[in-house]
Amino acid sequence: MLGAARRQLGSGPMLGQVLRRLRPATAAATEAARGYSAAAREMTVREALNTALDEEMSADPSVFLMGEEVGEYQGAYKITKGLLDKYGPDRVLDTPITEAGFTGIAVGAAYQGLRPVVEFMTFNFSMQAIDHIINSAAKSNYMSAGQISVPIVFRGPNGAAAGVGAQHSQCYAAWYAHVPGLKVLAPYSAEDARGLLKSAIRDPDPVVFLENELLYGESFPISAEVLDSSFSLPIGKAKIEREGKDITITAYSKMVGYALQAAEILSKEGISAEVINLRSIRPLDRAAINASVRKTNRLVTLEEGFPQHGVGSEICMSVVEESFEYLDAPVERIAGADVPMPYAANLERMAVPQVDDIVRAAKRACYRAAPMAATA
Amino acid sequence: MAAAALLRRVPVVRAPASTLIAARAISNSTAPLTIETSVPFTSHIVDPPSRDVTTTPAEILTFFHDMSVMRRMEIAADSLYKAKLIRGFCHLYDGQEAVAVGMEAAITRSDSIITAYRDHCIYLARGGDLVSTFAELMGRQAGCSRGKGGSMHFYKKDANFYGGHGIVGAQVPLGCGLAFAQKYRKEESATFALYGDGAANQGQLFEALNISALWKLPAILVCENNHYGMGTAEWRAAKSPAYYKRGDYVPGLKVDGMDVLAVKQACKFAKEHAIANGPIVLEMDTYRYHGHSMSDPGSTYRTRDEISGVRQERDPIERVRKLILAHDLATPAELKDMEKEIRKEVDDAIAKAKESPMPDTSELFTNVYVKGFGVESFGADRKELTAECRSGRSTDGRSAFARGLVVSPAESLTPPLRRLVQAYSRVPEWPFNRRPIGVRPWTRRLAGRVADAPVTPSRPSSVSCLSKNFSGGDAHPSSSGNIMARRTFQWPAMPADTPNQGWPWLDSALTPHLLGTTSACARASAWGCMVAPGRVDVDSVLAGVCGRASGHAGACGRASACSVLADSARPGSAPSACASAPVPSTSA
Repeated sequence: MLGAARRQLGSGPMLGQVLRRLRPATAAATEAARGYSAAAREMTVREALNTALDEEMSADPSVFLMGEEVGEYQGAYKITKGLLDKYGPDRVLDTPITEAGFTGIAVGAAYQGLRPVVEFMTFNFSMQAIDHIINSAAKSNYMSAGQISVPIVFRGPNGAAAGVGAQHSQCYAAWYAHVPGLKVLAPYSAEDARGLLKSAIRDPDPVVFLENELLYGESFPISAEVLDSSFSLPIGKAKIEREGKDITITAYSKMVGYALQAAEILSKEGISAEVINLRSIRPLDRAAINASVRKTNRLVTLEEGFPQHGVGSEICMSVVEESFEYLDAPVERIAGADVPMPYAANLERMAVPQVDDIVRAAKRACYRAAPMAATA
Repeated sequence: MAAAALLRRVPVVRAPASTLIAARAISNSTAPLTIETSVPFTSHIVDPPSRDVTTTPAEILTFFHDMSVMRRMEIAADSLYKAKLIRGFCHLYDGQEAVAVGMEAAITRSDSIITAYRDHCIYLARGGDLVSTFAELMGRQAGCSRGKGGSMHFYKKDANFYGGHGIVGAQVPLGCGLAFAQKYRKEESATFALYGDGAANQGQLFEALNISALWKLPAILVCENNHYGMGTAEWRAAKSPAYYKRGDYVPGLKVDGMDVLAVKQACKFAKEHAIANGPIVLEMDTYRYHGHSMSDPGSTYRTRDEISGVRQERDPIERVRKLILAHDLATPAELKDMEKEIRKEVDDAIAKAKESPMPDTSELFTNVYVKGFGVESFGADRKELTAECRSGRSTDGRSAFARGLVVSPAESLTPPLRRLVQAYSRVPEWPFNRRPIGVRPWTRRLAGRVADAPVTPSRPSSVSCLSKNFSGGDAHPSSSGNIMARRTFQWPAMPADTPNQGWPWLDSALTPHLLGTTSACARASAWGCMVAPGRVDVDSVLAGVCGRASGHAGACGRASACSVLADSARPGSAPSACASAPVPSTSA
């Protein structure tokens, strides 16, 4: 097929364009759209987390897992699959359904220098244990003036899944990022998941690691260096998922995927959007966000959680404090609806940001929103 | 017996004042002495230990001394609180000293203790000194938590004392966690988690007890039952005030908590039981003379007769005094002298603690994290007070971002043009940083593109951190050709003996390589470019860290992880070293 094209068109600049049009959309093209280099293979987020846990447990014998169904059930979402068989019941511990109790036990073990990885089946249940996360873990290093450090990781799915209702759909990024002494990470891709979880486990401070259930099964291309067992990503640094020059969209976790889709749509309308994958909610990479806003002069913050006192509010304030004169338009905020999550599918769709919401907000920030119909 | 013999035979963990006893004429014999406890032990699904406690005269005198120190200290704290030198909360332990002293006599420093907020005396028993106690209560630098914890947050990790917790009941799961770690590491030691009769009703206690029993953790839950949870008597708070039975399937023992020998016996028994069989509950029947805290008079929910009655009949120190006199281990005058000396010791400690200064203001920002990555921590007015978490150093109010943004296109311009661009794009201070009217968007975009120059251009060459993208791929210049601007860090010059910032597996011989070779390497180690433990070799680290500079990008995974590009134009950087470094194997 290509041979015929080549004979017709001959060589030259035309050929390249023709070939690009003829070439079917391959994985490589998708990668280029996502901003990754030539990938060695694809990996699901689930696999990324599993391999990260596996490697960290094998590297450091003081790392152990604790949570509901992490052992014999192979993990409620199969994140910890195979680890019980590999490391034994001394290091992969199934707990009763007593978050306050087992979180306290894990923090106490961390006081003694072990490195627990506590799984919450979802972060909604972490509220049962939130006193231990904040009062026993986050504040200990400060209150003891450095004597007691707590090298613990709290991980689990965060945010809305599909149709699970109000009590199982809340996003806790803003809650935990509020507290000094905690580090809060929110990976998006498989690379993020692997690198950030490894950093979190190695970190000597308490880390809240917010995953997303709907991302577990999603595949991302990864390069060979990600597969290396010493791979890790720095905490506190955001990633520019897509470069742009007209508007900045900040997002974390599942919303990064939505933002990238929105950026695609916007690019067809001539708006080049820069998508920042925050990766780290606390410490927030203010430098990256501000640098991007100074470049593009417009900002849309995107998150899945409730809007009031959310992550987007902090980002907006950071930009107002540091880059106010660079803003050409008010900062736009897209967040989950300010209601407990409904169950009905149509209402649920309205309660979570959708791609058109992001596109609309971006256009508003670019002063390209559809004009209101003038009344005669 | 000779003082030297005494020193040999007494465990070294004893408070140094025991040598004081050795110098006296009072008995310092270590001949065993068997004394019966005041009441027998009551037990729940376990055989109680014997009422006969083996002790020595020297030990009994140590008990008297230690309890007197604690008593004196708490009374002194009362006066200091009323003098407003101690602020906030102050929960006093006088009356309950026997529990702290008896427990300590039965265990070693490898056993852990954790308690709630009534922790001053436990801290002393674990080897804390009076000066640091009073200094912490008064919020001074010499305090055990450097003044940042306060009365409720005393810690002594080297003596396995884990605080000091303000949330009622939270310390019990934490204590079970300490026991978990002891079992995990196969240490033959146990953890004593102390709580009160008020906390005994907490749900998390039962959750932790359930897990401890399931996993057979060496946890000993000690209920210091002083019969009042704040202002609520136990019979109003607990349907079943038999706290030693609350474990249900977990054995329990009820102990007269005002009898130091009974406490010692029970704790010894409990430790052996816990290490062999898993958790056990101890209930110490004790009493506090003060109210719940200094804001509670302590007499609105109980009668003064009750308090004085206990003081007359059950006071732990008086009991030991009677024991000493009955067995003729010392004369009343000697005991009085001892008490006088203790009073003086406490007064001296208070005077010394008062001399200690308040913490330095930079301490506001220290210890938030163990590893802060240099991120900013803010004061109430962040434009006034911002600090870097890494060092706790305060800055002048400009954010790190405002201080250090550098862009490579400007660097690639010729110097005159660069100066022109930087001069144009420099963001001045308020009020001159308001956007000038009439500046057109394209010029500001230019300014944004070549944004703020470093405010002190004479800063020593710090490497600009170019981020290609963090996934380690090749550079993706944006469609406009602009390379992303990043922050420049000003790393302080590291002295040669700087500890390796919490990377214990980094060989100290290696660290100078990391810190001294190029700033890129310094940043890599500081940003957490992970060198896997046990797999460090100089060449691979250097190659990994500086690899990108010489084009070895991705040679070893670390290059992308630290996302640092050494400024290859800078003299003194070691791209040549990296270029010649062998490509490391990434296998373990």
